[in-house]
Amino acid sequence: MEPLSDKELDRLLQLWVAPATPRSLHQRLFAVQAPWWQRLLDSFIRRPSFVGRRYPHRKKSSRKV
Amino acid sequence: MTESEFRKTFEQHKDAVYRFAWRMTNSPVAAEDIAQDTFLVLLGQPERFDKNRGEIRSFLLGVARNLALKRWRDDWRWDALDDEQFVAQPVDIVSSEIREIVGSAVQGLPPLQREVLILTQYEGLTLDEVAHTVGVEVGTLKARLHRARQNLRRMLASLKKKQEREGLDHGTAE
Repeated sequence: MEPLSDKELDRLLQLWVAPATPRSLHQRLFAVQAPWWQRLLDSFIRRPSFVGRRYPHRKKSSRKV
Repeated sequence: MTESEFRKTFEQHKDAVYRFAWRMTNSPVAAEDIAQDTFLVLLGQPERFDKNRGEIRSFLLGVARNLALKRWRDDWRWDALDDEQFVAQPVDIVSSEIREIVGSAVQGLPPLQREVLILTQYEGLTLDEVAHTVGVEVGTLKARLHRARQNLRRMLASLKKKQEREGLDHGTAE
């Protein structure tokens, strides 16, 4: 089979067009719920959660077995 | 970096970063994740970008490139990133549009060949800029680009006939 020339290859490669950048990318980076710096901090700093005190109103003795 | 500077940079370079990630992964979801993470790196660690070492576009594409390769390694950890023994197979041209065939041919290249082809062919970077972006010598990049184009020539050779035939068909239909 006859190989493609440089020019022919370039012409074919130009046919492969990428889609437009989705709007959701902007929304993901600039969401309105919280300032960007706060979201950044939230994503890096792990805050401890007090699992044992999750339901302080419940008493162990009141649980049915 | 102030928020307005960041917004301006995002608007200027989001398309190049997204396009590159999409071509590297062939997945809109993965491309969006990579583009988002790329800009978060700039936001979280702006000191990583050094104006004296190159344009911000090269820096962002370099970050996107590392993220794309990381994904690739996670998914295909047993395959070589730049397989010199890679043998290009002709792509199936029977049932596909020409642009899809071209896309799958580029997708079929080993990642290190694919990235140099995408950065030069589609993003218009010079080999010096690609060298800065991916942290590799220009000579190595030249060799990779040569192998990529050789492989594509083999993979897409059958398209030449298809195009000629279709051109002929259109010609006879008129």
